Amino acid sequence: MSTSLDGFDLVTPASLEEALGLLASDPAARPFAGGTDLMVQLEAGRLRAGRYVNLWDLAELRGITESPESVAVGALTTYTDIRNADVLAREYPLLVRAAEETGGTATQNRGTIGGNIANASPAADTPPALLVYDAELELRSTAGTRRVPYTAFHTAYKQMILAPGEIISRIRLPRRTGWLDYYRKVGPRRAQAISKVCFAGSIAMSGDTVADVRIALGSVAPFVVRAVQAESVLRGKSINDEAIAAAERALRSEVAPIDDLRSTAEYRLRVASNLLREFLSHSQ
Amino acid sequence: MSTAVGGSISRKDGWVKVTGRAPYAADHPIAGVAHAVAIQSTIANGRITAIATSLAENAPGVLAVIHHGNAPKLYRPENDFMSATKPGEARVVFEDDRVHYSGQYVAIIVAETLEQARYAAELVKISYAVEDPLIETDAALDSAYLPDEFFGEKLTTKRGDPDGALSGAAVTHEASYTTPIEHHNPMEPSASIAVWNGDELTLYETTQWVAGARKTVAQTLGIAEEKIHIVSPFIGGGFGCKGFVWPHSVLSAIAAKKVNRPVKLNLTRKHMFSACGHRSETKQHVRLGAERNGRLVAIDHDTVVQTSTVEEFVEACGNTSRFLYSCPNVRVRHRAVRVNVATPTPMRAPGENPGLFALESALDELAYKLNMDPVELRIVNHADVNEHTRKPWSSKYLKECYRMAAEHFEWARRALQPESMRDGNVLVGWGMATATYPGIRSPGAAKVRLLQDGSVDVISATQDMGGGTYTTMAQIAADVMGVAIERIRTVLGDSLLPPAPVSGGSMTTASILPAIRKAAQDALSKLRQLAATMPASPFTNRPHDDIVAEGGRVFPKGADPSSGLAYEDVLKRTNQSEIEGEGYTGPGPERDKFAFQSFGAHFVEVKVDPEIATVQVSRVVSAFDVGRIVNPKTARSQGYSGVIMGIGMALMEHTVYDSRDGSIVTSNLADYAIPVNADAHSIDILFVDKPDPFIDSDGLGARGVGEITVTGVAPAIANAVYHATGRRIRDLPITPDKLL
Amino acid sequence: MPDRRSVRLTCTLNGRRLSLDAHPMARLLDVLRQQAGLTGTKEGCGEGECGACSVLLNGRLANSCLTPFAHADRATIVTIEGIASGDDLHAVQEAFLECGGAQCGICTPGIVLAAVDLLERTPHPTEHDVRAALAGNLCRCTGYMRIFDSVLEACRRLSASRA
Repeated sequence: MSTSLDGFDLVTPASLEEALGLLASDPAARPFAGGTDLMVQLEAGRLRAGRYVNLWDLAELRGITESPESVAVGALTTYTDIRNADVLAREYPLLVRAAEETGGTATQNRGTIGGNIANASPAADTPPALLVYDAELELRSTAGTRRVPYTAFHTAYKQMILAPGEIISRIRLPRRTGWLDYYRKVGPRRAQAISKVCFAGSIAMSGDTVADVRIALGSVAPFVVRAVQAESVLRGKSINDEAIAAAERALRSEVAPIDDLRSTAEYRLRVASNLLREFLSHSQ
Repeated sequence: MSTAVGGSISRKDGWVKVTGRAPYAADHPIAGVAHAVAIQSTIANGRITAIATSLAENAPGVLAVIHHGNAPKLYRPENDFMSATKPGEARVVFEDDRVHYSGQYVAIIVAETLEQARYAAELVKISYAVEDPLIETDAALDSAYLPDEFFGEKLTTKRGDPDGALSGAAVTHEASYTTPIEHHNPMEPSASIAVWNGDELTLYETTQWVAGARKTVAQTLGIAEEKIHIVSPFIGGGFGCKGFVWPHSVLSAIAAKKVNRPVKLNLTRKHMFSACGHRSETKQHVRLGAERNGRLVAIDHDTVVQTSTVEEFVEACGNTSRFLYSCPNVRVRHRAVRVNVATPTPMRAPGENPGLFALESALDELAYKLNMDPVELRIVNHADVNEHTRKPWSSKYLKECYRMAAEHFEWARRALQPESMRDGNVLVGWGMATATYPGIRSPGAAKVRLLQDGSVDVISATQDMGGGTYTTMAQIAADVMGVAIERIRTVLGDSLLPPAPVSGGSMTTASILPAIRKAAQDALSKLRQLAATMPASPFTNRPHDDIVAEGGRVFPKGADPSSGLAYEDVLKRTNQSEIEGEGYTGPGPERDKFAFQSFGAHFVEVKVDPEIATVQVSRVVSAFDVGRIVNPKTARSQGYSGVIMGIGMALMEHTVYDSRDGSIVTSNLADYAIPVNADAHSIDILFVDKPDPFIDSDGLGARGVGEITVTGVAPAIANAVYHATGRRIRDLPITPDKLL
Repeated sequence: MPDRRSVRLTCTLNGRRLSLDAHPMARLLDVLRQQAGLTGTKEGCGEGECGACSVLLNGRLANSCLTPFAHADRATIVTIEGIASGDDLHAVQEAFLECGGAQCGICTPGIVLAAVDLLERTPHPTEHDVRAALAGNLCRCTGYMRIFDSVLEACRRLSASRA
């Protein structure tokens, strides 16, 4: 390792209450879960020194619970847990696909969905799926619990609406039926890759027309985005060449890909468009 | 007679590797070891104006802070490969206040614990006078120069009249090809542990060349070679970046001297991107001229590469173009630019690998212009002799490689036109390319020791970085001695042993195995002499050449082996604990008579997803003529290894520098992508397996197999991508954004 | 000042209960190598990309370079040194030895652990299962072909021994 641990501390609270208290009492303290992101930042010398609160053993933040209206996924649920959850495979297959495509087995065993959201990478694998499923985040602090739609959570590159001392405690996915799902991640190699483009789509048809649709993308904007304009162009329409072309135009106007070392803006734009077309063609 | 040579023998070193017990450089338990952390420059060009070390020196556990201002005097080694004094870069570490590239070592901290050293490293404040760095080849082109020669080979040569032939050629092709900076990225980062005992130094290293490390470090420290002991029994891959001596090995030595106790310096993955070499970027311009029937009339191969400001290393891309095909008019030129980037070094088939990307891509393009099958074009231009050196080949079965691989691949089913093959929505393409690498041999020495329990030690100061030398050394001794391979131990990777060449240039097999054969024969000869002196034995009063030692038994010539004694009984009865045979062999006059070269061919299928332009290498068939195959199991692994590295080179590997400050943007294994398990699909490795009659005088006939396997893979993939898509990518890697 | 936040934790390492002292955010990799002397666990990248530092943590494959020491508290840890029974190799080790799954050998401990983990969970893996299970273990030598063969051979051996 290349970084000194001086200035770092990792404290292990016995309960969620204690954890929230620790976070409230030290505004600089940050939550620590499976370590698959923070330990990488530590190695790279990019992790801010200070106190970290170890959430890993807090059972309150684990587990998947079902109610008639929604399925709630604890923030500490690992990618492996997601892959193994029957209810998610049945009703939220894109989330399972995204979990399968995140890192290797070891990362999937330790990486958590809450961490994937809080890391706020524009290239993260699960957030496009969460957007497609209208996920709602439950945020906890000593001040209480609030719920925010995931669409409102990220505000800019690596920025989100978490208040000081607040953590993501649960992700709530409304239950739904009659949707067709589509997911595609494009990376530099066939596994364990950071995406060049990640596309998640879900569509509900009523006869020949689009009753409702969700489209979300990773790696094409400063944070994962839902393509609301493309969605609205499609709603109520039949899927034909004209509708697809209109949706592609809308999509191009609402993503903002960049050139970086993983790909080019032009490639991302064209692939986003191609994947939209593939998604819609599959739905016909 | 036993026939271990040619057998698919499992690795002798397999057991310690699957159990985690093999000690690599960083694993040796050394009592009282202190830990070092190397600080690297954050600028790429300029001067150190001040180093503030007092905070670090006073930090807990810190034993020393060493930098150019207080380092002991170090000496530039001879820097001569042939005399084993080759450092990675000519400049010695901490030589002065100059900074030549980002990542250059500027100070080293030694502390009781690694954590204390890291902490102190963060307290060192270094001030620089920054000068504008020159990072990119294009920005440095004005200052490009013509290096004269490299490892004894001229870098600018001409035969015939290429310009004239090109202007008169019926068909011509001209294009530029580029390959990016690539890093070896062996999975084991380098490490060095230095232990002084008085004026004697033991260095635990990860090196492809213990003899080179010993002599080069000795010269750098200014002490006698005999005072240095290099220990490197296991190497976690090298691919060239552990061939020469890099500064970390000197740093651990001076640090240990300074603090008067053992010091360990373990490089991080990030260090590995600037501390032990890389493959230079190459910009190659190729012009080909041919007759309508495909006969080449001209080849012009012009290359620009980078080297650093502290060493000259030239990626000699064009030199293979002088002889790979028959052609009367050939010009090859290399120019180099000096940039503020760490020094390049050999990386698996240096020169041949990027050079063949250009030449073999160009040939494919020419084949389309001629409307000719690319295999046919290569056969039409088969070089029956080496037209550069004008020597006959020692042996050459390139046509056999094309035939074997093409048949296995079912190349005959290929449609000539691009974009003509599909698998559902997916575009399918088939491409091929030639592979080649020289058949190098160097002097090597070995010992074979027969012990009183009947077991045998096979000993040489060679190295095994994964290629299988532990096993092949035992195989040859097993055959000569007639002893089961299980009873043979291989000892290598230690500079106290009989000297051997670098594990590079694919030369180990051809250099070491003949020496072992000779040492084993010597051991048996000594055993027969010993038997001849035994009183009251079946051998009494027999001259030693009337005694046979084979198959584990010593017996009178003409007699049944059972009438004699087991080897170990001869030793026991004569009270000898062991018998040691010695062998020293090297290349001879055959080198003046023949050109030694290995050949091969890769046939590749790619699948391209048209929506996202990703390339999957779905099938590879490669055939190689590398002389006799000593061990098909380990040799085939080298084949897989080269192919997957070629897939990485073709599709994903490239190191990205920030041209403003020369820092490396991709200095980790997330951003520098190498292939994963899922990128390997169907790979078939075939061998012609015909002995080279002249490479050695012992009838072994094996050339090396380590490097040829990667050559030609990238162009075969690029050619297949063109066949699939009609898009010619001349700029590696073939990333989807270039293809869409 | 470094090390002042050192904590003492107890875990079961390769079947032995023991207490170790380290900073709670120290890498389990460093604690294993430096304090427990278990150097079979290798560092290849320090950031969870290569899998050379894989261990089984509470029965699950984990990158010890990304595991803070705090997570070793009361944990059961198995490293490569705990896979064989004395000199009797595990079927996965035998298969890697015989099929040539180890080449330079530095990635081998991590890959053996990943394969053991896979076959314990999925005794009859498909090709896709194998590739997915080993996705986090980089190898620069073997071209992965022999690793793949080794896992399938181990699967056959384990099935035979169960039958």
